[in-house]
Amino acid sequence: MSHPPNPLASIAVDPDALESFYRQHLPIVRGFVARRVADPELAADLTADIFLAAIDAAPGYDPGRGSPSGWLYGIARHAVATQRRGEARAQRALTRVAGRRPLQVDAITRAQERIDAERGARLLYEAMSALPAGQRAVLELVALDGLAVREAADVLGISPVSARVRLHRARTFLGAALTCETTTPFTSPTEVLT
Amino acid sequence: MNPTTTDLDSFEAALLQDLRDEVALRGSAPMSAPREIRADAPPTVASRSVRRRRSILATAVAAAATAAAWVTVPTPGASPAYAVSATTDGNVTVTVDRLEDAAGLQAALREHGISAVVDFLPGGMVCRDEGRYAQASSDHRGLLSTSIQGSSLTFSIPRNWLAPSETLVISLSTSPSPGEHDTVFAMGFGVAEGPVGQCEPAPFPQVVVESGA
Repeated sequence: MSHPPNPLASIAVDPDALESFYRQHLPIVRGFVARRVADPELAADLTADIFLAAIDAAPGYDPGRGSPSGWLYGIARHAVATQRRGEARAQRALTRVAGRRPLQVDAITRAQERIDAERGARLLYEAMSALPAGQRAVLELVALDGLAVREAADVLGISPVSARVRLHRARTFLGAALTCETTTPFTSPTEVLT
Repeated sequence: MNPTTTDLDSFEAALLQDLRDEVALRGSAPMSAPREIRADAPPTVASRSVRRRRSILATAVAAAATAAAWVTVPTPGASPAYAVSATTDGNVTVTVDRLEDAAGLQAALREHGISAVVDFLPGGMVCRDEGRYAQASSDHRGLLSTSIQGSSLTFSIPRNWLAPSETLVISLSTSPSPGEHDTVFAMGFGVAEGPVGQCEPAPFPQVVVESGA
């Protein structure tokens, strides 16, 4: 057989397999989200979006194209991009469905702790916004999420060599940007959503 | 491999249960073909389901709200979510059947010249009024008429009822009863002078006016 079995196929149909996947990968998703958004409610929505998208996509996972973790990073990137690109539309959709709802105090507290801890990462994330999309994608995964260059290349479906080139260019560009940025006092995080 | 996370907060635990339910549902149905995740794809039924669950799981994060003008509404029934229309004398009539699209209702009111902030809340919750906005100094009480028919709630806003600096603040709550999370259960309204803060949900106040029918 040319295709290895899909180890993630079961998470779309077996609740126990899904729970195992969820518990194993929740730390990745927590960190990924906290490095990108400063609002606990939005972080919660994104967390739900990412795991739902993972369940949707699990039957199509190809183990030959990277680890489950790398695959999940790709899904998470899509979820955040969707949220950013269509934020207003997404908010309308949320409102249509249920409206923004409060998290319980413990969830807010823990989400806020993670968000506070990742303040520097979010500064970096925002500073990356000026980069070309291809360079930004590699830098995000390597500098922000701590992936190896090869893993980042897998996530993005590009060669490791190409990833390294993009990374080098991005770092060169961003070095200057960050130097400027750090001269500005950092203000407290603002609530993203109303 | 990543270590298994056993320490879940309340949201993560609830989300896990929702995801398990979703997967169980899929596992019991014929498998659909794998599909590629598209960034611009519309929300799936699953995402709606989970978001709906988040609404059900809401709990108090603030002290009880003061009782404003609260009316409980019989819940069964379903029809269009809401309608906004203007009468020939310039009054604006709003009918709400289900708590869907608060932003849409807010926009529809604005199109009719009514500055409003609309929030839909899950069962048993209301927006906390203290500190959210400054009450308008003029007395609007009794000028906004409300009627209830079946599960439908209708209110009428007279022409020029609001001064330019005033905003109608509407909070609609769903029923706390299981299986009735879409229908209007209670409504609160106020008139703000100046800006209106974000809705801070609080437990439904015990002081309510029971509707007759």
